[in-house]
Amino acid sequence: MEYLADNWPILFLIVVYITLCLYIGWWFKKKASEGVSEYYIAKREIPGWVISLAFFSTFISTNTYIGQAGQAFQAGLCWAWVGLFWTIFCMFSWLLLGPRMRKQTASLNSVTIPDYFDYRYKSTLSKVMRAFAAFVIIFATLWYMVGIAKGCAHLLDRVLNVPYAWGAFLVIFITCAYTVWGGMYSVLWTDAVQGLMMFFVAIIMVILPAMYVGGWGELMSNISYVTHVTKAGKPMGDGLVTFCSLVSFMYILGIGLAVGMKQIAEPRCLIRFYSVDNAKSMKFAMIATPVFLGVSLICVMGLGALVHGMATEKEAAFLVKHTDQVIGFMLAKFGNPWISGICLAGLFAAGMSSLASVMLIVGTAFIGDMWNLFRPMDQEQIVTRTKMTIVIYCAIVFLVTVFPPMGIVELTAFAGAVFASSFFPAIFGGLYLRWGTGHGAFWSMLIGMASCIIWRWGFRLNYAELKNIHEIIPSFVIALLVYVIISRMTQSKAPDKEHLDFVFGVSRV
Amino acid sequence: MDFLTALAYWGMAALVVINAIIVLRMKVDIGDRAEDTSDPT
Repeated sequence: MEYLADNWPILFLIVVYITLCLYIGWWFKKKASEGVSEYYIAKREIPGWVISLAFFSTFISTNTYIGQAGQAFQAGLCWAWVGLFWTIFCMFSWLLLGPRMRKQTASLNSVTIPDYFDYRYKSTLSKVMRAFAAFVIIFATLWYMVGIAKGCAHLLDRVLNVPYAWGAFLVIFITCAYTVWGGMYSVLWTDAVQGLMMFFVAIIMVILPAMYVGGWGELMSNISYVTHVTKAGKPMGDGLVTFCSLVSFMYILGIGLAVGMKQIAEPRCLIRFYSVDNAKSMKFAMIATPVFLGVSLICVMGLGALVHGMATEKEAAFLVKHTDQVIGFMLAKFGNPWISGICLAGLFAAGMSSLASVMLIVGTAFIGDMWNLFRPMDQEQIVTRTKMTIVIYCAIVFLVTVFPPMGIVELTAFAGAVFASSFFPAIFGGLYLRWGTGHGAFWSMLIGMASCIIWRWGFRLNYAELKNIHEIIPSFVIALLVYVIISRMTQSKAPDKEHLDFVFGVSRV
Repeated sequence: MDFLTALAYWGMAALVVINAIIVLRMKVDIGDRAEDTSDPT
């Protein structure tokens, strides 16, 4: 009873939020199950403002609001440079990929990213490429989902004393429920609600440290010089407000690229373009998405550094080694249950919006791009088996979440690097380069992924001088080179002119 | 905070504005009937 008395505002707000998400999922249950186009891409009938919020909320997750924000506790205010790179890639994604992708995928009748590779390249390797792309999605998504579930579970533990495993279970399976029910309709409309929440929560959160200490001037004065220590035990001094004093620019660049490039390569972001209903909506989303993203990142990316103003030396010494817990600490120390409730709901919104998107993508990848590819089935079976796949995958994610292998920021960055190096050359080449071939696309995917893994496990972890060169940098360059070289060498295997005219003739943007 | 640290924050704000200007001036075509045909100038 004492627990309820202490926490009822937080519990009330979270219950309201969860009920709304489940209601949306239930609302769309019948419509989403009508067919593959409905379940997988909401029949391309979603307005631009929903897509804009959905793109923003699916890209930004608890990995940002907890992981990245917390990382600034170690790295200082200059951690916002990561956000700057992300904003640049958001612009690239919408300006360069959005309209063209929507146009080509509609004309090719593509409903997933792997099937786009199949239909665009029309190669002897098409089916293999499609299945391999699906495999990459299933492999990389696991780590990403674990990272999000871990962040949410820590938050529930810190603020509401919910045991870690229980917290992970609730977050994963509540999201699973509304995703399975409503498919892409549910994912997009809950994303829109969650995006609005996340936007306002980012603004609220950045104000909290200043309110706690008594004003912005006081806060900036407090953090301009601190006796708090770094992870290595050295005093931070003015490091929090000095560019790259506490963290190397190469590390910032690595995370900035590895995560930021997900916006130009990761299926959960790119699939948003599929669902836009018309050109006016597309144009609206092209403006609005960077606004939502940019404003939120301005608020969130330096937040951890501001929390130093709220922490004692002992608290700071703990938090600098456990940056995933900085935001939970901030909310607990601010001590207002209504603010905590609103922010917690926003943080869960951040996590669940991303979880829902990737869950659906995994389901469509396994059934639509692997099973159905080699053993065709009717539409009803595709939809039903996609739902079953999502549930089973969530169970696996839960088990791995209980024993996570590494920190949230690194988990996300690694998954992002795999996508960016594997998929971007094939996507960009597909949209812009008539001479790009299926062979070039396939080998760039394979070698991109392999070089990512080899760099990380073979070089970066074993050679100190290479530690800060994130795997995204060499693997991306290698994958691009492979795409160009192999495509040029296999021009005889390119799709015929008629097909290319069809694909490119309708994609003059 | 120093100039380079502040640049990240101002930079994000500037990019958002620049992006909006670019998009407002461009013609967006996704192949549907309700195309945007606004004059790019």
